[in-house]
Amino acid sequence: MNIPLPTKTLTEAEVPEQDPAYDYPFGLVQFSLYCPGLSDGPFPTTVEVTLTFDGATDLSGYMFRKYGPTPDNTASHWYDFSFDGETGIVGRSGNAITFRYVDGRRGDDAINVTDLYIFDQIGPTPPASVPTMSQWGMVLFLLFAGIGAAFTLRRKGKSA
Amino acid sequence: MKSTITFVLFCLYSVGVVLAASGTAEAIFIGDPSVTLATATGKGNVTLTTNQSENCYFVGVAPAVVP
Repeated sequence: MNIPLPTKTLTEAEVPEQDPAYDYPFGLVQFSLYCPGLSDGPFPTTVEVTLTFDGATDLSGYMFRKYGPTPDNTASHWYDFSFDGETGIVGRSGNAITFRYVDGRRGDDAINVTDLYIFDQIGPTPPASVPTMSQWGMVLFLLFAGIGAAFTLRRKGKSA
Repeated sequence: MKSTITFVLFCLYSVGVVLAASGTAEAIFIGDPSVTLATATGKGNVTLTTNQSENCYFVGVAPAVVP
């Protein structure tokens, strides 16, 4: 049996490996959920955990990424915990997100171990922002477009 | 002897009151199917709950939330 990780919150900097392409404005949540009441089944042990962030109103566009091993890569790494048909996000409602875990499967950091424990480190990350033009960029764009249009009209007027 | 025990109990109670009032005491979660923690980035709290509250509980130690 693995030693349970303490249930706590942490920042991305506290995770052994950074996730450079993503921000975690609410940090990460680390928890160990122990289910002794399911020792007699049903198997595999399946539970749902809901995280409610009272500092947010709508997390509908957020991706939830977690750090840990997966069945296809047993070295800890960052991955998107979307639903894959068995585990991942199964519900969203405003600032509350519900995840489904199966003991020892993708999402449980004690991968391939059925010990009635679910270990996780997970956090919300906002959608990637689409690059946009700044206010001054738009002013310059309109200025050059106007000059170009005036120049074209003037050339057409001369040739007619 | 009785007064000594009373004094020791009073001291323990006082320490507990001070720690609780400071909001920095650590809460030990054993057998709790619902836990509320302050986010590490200072943006509110996060509450963890499970649909298997009769059979599962969150374990470990975490900073207590100041009420």
